[in-house]
Amino acid sequence: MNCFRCKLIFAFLCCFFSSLPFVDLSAKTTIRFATVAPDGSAWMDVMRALGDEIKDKSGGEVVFKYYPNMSMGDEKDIIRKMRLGQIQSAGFTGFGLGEVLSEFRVLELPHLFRDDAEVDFVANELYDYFNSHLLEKGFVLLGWADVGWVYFFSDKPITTPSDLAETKVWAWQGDPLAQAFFEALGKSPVPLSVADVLLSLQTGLINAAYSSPLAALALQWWTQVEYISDVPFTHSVGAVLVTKESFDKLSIENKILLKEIASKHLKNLVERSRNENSEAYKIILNQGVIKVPSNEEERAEMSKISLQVHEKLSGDLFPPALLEQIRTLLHKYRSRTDSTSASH
Amino acid sequence: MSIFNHIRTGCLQKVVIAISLFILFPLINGCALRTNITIWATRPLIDGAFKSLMAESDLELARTAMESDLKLLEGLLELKPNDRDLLMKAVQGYTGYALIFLEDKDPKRAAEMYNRARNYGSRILGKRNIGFFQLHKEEVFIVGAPRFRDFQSLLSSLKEEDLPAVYWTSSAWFSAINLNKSPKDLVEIPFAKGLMQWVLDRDPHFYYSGPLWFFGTYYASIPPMFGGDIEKSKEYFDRAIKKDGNRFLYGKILYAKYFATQTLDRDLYIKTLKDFEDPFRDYIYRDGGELTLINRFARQKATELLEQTDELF
Repeated sequence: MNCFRCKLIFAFLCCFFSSLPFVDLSAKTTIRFATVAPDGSAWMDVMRALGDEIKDKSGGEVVFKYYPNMSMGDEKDIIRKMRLGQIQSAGFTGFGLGEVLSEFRVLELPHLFRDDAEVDFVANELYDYFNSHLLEKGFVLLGWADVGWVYFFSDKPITTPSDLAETKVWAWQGDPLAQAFFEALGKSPVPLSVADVLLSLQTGLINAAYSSPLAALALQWWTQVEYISDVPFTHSVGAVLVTKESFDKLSIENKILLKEIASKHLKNLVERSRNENSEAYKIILNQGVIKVPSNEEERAEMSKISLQVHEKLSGDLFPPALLEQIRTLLHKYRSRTDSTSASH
Repeated sequence: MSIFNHIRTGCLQKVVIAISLFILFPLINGCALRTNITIWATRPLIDGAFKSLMAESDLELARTAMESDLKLLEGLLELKPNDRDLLMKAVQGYTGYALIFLEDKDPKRAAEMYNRARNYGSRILGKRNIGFFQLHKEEVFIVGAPRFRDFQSLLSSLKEEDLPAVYWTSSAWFSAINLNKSPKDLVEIPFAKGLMQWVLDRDPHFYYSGPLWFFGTYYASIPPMFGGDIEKSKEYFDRAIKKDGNRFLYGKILYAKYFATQTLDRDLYIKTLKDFEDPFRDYIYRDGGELTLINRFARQKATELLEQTDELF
């Protein structure tokens, strides 16, 4: 009998130890991160640094794996894969963020912000708003990023709405915001994927496109245009999201750690993106692309069209109350900074 | 039989001329002539050293030798800055040195060495009045740098004999860009690509299908949104593999590193890299031909990449 029990215990121990290699005793969580940005870009440099730090500080419990270069597809594909649990985290432009939660697009309304400080102020004030709405969709906002200020690139100078109306302008296929902007001008843009823009500029299918300077460099659009606008017509946001499902699997300590580390590194990414964008703008000018000067009157004309777009999209892409809240925040910020600068 | 009977006629002539010049040397005031004699006398040594280096199967020994050979080469270039043959060796030498010994361990220095290689290549191409090549990286902004459209027309001034210089300059240039991707680098992509396209149009199989490996890598390493195209990449890689895949093994490293990872094809990645362990390939790593060093490096790289499989897929 004893011998039989010994055999049973021995058999049990054998089974237990033989199964050990397949049991994850360390409770390691792997977060697969995808982006359309190429390896070696600021996005990937920062995300790799973030991954190294969280791995180190969590004692190897949180590990990032990277899928740059659109190897997981475009932003729509990435969102789908996040919902299926194949990817746990991603860096998005405003376009992708809008696919997850259309309210994000309010931050990209034309002529809404005047400078980076205003963008940062509003984005920080609204962090909780966006995060709570994202949670309902199954995502967590790890932090803001920055795509940059968006300019027109064209083969004719563009300063007024009528200039724009005369161009064959591109609009990002499926982007309601771009569509609304050009419709407000009484203009039908040429909807194309980003990948088709360069060839379309070469062949003359379009003769104007819009982008941040850094993206225009990377996309090589600068090789096909003569002019760049002097004033941006909008600002494009970015952000890093993680799925709620994977975030919830982390221990409380690791959740706090991840948020802290992400916040630090994404601030660095924002700063780097802004520096690279202003450097890119100068480089494009030095390559012979001409900056188109605009006067107060022309800028006011453009802003007027933009206001129509704000109203048109309000209640459709975002609730009117959100736009009102942003206007109130901006008013508060501007009156504060105006009074500060006046006192100096 | 006199020993001179064993010396080939051309060689005998060189010896006679060398002895004559040696005797006359103190009498010669012309610095240029002295320089020419030095280069002339050293050239066979440099040729031999580079040949031996390319055929070296011991990476550590190759590294030590390469560092001193490159400095000797630069010394000679101080004497004769526009010697085409020396410049070509400098472009190839610094490109190889950066790729094999620096890129993984010290990317910053690797980029510097690639740029040094590019600048030597630029010296050759500068003779064709392609102004852009007379500029150094920091001086891209100076007035007079051609725009991209001008650059394309300037390419027409290149001659067929420039093909090796164009190929190696473009390779070095693109490798440097690939390590940085700052705005300053991004603006140079169309120029470096334009040069390689020029080579591709003339001789796609130059240097073991170098332009095909290049474009296979280019189209896989850039996101589709930014001009990448995985179908084109496959087409270029397939052509390169068919022609030179069993000789120039580093090409297979590019195939695994860029194509297999971009397509997330783990099996292809492993299969391509495991192939380097095939004992039937051992002779390739020791054959003493001009690809021995790069193939030996490729085998080492395959082992390192295999270790990264779980991180990548």
